[in-house]
Amino acid sequence: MPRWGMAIDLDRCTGCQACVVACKQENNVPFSTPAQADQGRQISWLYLQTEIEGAYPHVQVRFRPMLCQHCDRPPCTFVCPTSATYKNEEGLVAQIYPRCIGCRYCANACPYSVKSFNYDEPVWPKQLAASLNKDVSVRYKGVIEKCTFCSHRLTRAREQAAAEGRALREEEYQPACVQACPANAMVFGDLDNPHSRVAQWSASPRAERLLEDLGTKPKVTYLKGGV
Amino acid sequence: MNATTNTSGRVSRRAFLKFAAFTGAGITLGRCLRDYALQHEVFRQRWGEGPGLETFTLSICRQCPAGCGLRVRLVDGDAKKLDGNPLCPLARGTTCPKGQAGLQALYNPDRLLGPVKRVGPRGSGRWQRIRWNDALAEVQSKLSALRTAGHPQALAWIAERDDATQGQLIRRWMHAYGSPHLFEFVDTRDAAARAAMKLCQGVDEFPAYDLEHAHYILSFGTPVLEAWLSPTWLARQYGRLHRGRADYRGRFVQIEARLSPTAVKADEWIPVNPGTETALALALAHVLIREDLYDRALVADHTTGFDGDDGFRALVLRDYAPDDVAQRTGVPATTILRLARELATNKPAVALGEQVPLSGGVVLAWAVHALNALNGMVDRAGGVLTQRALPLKPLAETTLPGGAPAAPAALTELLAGGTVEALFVSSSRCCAVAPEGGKLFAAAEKVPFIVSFSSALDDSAAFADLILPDHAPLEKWQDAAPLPVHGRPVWAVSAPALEPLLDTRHIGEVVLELGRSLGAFPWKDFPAVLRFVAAGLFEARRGGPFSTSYETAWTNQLETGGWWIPSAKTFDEFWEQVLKAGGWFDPIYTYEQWPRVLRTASGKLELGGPPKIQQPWIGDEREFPLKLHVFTTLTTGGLNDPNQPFLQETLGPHVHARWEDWVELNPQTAQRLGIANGDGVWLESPLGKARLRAYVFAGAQPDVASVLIGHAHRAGGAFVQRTARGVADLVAYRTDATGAPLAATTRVRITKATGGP
Amino acid sequence: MRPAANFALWTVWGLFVAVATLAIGVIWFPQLPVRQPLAFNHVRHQPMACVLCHRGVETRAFAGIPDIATCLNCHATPPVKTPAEVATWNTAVQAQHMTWHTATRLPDHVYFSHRRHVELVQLDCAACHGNMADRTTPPAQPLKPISMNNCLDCHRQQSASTDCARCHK
Repeated sequence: MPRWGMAIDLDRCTGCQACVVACKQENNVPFSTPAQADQGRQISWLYLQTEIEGAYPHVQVRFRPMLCQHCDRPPCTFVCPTSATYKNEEGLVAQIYPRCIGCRYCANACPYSVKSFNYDEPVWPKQLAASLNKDVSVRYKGVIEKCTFCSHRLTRAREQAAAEGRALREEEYQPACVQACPANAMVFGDLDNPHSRVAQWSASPRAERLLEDLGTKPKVTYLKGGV
Repeated sequence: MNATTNTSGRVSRRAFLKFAAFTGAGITLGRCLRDYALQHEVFRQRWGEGPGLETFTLSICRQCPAGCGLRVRLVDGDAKKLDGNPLCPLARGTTCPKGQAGLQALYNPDRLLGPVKRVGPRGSGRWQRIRWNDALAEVQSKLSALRTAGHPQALAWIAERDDATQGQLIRRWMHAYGSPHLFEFVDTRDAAARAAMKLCQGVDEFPAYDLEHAHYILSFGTPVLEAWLSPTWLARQYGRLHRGRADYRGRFVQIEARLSPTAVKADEWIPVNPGTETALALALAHVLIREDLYDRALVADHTTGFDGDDGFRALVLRDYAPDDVAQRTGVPATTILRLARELATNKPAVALGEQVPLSGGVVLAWAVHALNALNGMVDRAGGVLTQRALPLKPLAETTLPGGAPAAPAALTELLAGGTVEALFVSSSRCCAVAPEGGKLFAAAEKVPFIVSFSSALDDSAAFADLILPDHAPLEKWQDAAPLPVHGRPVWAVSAPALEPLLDTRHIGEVVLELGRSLGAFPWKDFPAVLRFVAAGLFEARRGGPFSTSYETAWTNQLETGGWWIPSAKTFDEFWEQVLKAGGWFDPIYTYEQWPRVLRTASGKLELGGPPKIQQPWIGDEREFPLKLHVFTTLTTGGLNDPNQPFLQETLGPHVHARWEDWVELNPQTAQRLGIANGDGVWLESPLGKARLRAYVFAGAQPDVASVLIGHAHRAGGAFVQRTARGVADLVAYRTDATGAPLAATTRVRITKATGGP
Repeated sequence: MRPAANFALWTVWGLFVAVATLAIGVIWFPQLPVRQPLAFNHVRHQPMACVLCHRGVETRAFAGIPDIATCLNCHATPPVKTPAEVATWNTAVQAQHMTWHTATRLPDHVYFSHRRHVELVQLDCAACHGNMADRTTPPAQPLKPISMNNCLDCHRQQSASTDCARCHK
């Protein structure tokens, strides 16, 4: 059983946000209105987190593509009263919209703030609706949504492999953000396969996992930049 | 006891009927409610009810002039996702965020349904749908009238600089019609860099950069990781610079007035006073010369104007000692010394001096080019290259008037002169970034007949009389000849990815139609023109269709050894291969071909005769205490229409800016002005004022106001309603020999606006 | 006093009945009936395999309802009798499209692949669709209700995955 994970090399990442937009396009992530954005109700499965330290001219700004860390011990799943969010056997933390009652416990429990709530009914102009991806639900008001590691791509890839009567090849399943990254800063694959690039990157001396001391065991690894 | 029930438990007829009616009504209502609920929530099928047939096809991204190859995922004929064409040498299977958002341009709710004609007074926004034949007849009659009257030069055309077929067709048509007034703009390149190439190397083209082989990049305000060259290609080179080599991590230093996203990702950011980058570049040259770190052989063999009393050496040694320059630039002398030594000892090292959207001036471009020459990095691996020509078969014998650098000032002057009687506009980028843009719009008001090819009611369309909307890029036959990137010729070509959604028409087809009466356009349709120009590639006997990086490296090896293996026997076969791969590419670049790259009269790189230093700042220092520094972002630069919600949501991650324009202020400056983060402010220059949002950002320089331009529009669709209007109008238009508007020119003041953000 | 009490009693009763029947209506009764343009007779097409017309069932997620072009492969003349039906047939032939309606609908949040079930695990069509082959007229409702319980029962029996994310998209 593979254990899917991601590694992001911040020394390659340019902060261009191609991953951010690719994610929105792939996963039918609704765009906010300016008024919603002012209220902090913008929905992003993946966003560029900015940390600013110091004062002019000794300022240190860091960009970090931030997404669901697909923790091995996810705090969000423990608090979900309906099992709408849970960790599956391949380590993906899933979110099942029809089960979600919109209590937002999980969003509060998540130490990475990567779960978004649909405060309003998402608006898709008729023309833009033509570009909605059929493989992913269009969400509605009152549910939480978050990164799924594009698990619909896994479903399709697995089916294709089965149809061709062979095992799934790791590179067949790549989330949209990894595929889009022009700097080749993101890799994705099976963390338990020692030959996979993601496992090698995750073992790098530059590797760090966010808020590891909370015991969440995230499966997204960041490789520190600037060294 | 009442009338309807009795003790015996018998149900009266009346009671039964009531009961039955309630039951029936309840069940019917229940079913309807259920069905309604399901229809509206569970079975909405917002993506259409097709069988889910997935197909992939190739196209070209037109979100900026770079022209990267795309791979389009279609389901039941609807485009669902864009990704890079894996074989395109620029994209290599990836895209930048603009490319990813391309479907929001295609399926934009604000696109025009078809050609329209203005009915109210100009700017009133009242339009009427007309038929294509009527629209073209109206244009045709106007053109014939002008031509028979003997002044075809009363026609002007504003276009995007495009060396591919559509652009060539417009050039040929203008030539055939008889007007020299074709203005071609590109806002992701600095016209000054091209002028410096002309000045030093006699080559009238933008420089190319061999970043793939560079170990050290020193950028003088060049937005390397924003809207410049091809963002996709640049991001890959950045990744490669840092982590692409097992044994070596390259270094990238950004010299810029503000901590831009590029500076954030640079290994070192060196804040510099706006407009003093030239002095800094020459101070580095000073150190190279003084410490004898420069490439003596290259300077001796291939340059002129270095020695002598008024030569380059004398100039920089006299005027640009690090101690003097440190004062002016705000960069400590020790840093200048260190940078010069790093540049000289980390070869291949390249210095970049292009600034966009407003130019650093030809003097900066010249200084940086001279610095590269001194460092021995001209036409060497990892340095500044000269673009190899793309062997497309030319459409016109004369290249006139296309390709000449266009200046918004010249355009404004021409339009204000009142001699222009018809104006065609096929790109609105010049309006977005032209300083004192208001003057351009006022001048355009005087033109009696304006035709726009815009697909939505954007800047260029808002003041037009007739709009002939072009297809969206994914809907059309198109090709792209990117402006110089890495020096190797690239040509992307693609068939339409999907049928046109609306009643639009290809600009190329319109030009062919208009050209038929001129007699100089023998082609049946636009694809025929594409095949015609592609014949030049087939006959060039080099390069080949786009291929994997492995195969490309192999082709390169072969060509280096003087070999070339044709991929096809006939042109038809070749054409099919090129269409299937998405384009044609010749991966080889032979360095140090001096006669090709040094085309000056002397045959050498000319370092003498420095251009004049730019004018002082506009605005009184006491009245306008802040210097204005302008920038664009990756997601707005080069973009034809910013009316795309995904891009509006991701405008400025470093200050959490979205949906609107903003000004960045240093915390101390902001405190002095009584401005808090997120406040609404008035930005005022001697030319006028605009209201925007202020972000207090530690990476902003004290007493400098950094403003996003090229984003705020006068007109636009539903998703740009919050953008400020006319920010570029506040920037004073100051220029040097090239006509390119200069960046560091204007002083401003900022006051807190009352009443909400 | 009597009439008022009577009225109150009736109102309470009435409301109770209305709510109860509403609930029955919502829970019990399936979707609104589907009316097809022609009374397609599956029995008459009996010996042919389902996949002959429902192409894509082995290769795609969506099984696909045959369009008029598929009918025309065999039928040169209208295979229907009544003038109204002949008119419908002729219009469809002219337009090269016949709008059949899907009776078996899946909610938007479910991913179901016919290929996976039919081609890869050789599930009989009747397992989900009921005995369509014996129908002489198109059913107004699915012969077997599509419900998650039915899916899960089968998945448990066959030890197929019951991971929510495998089917919920």
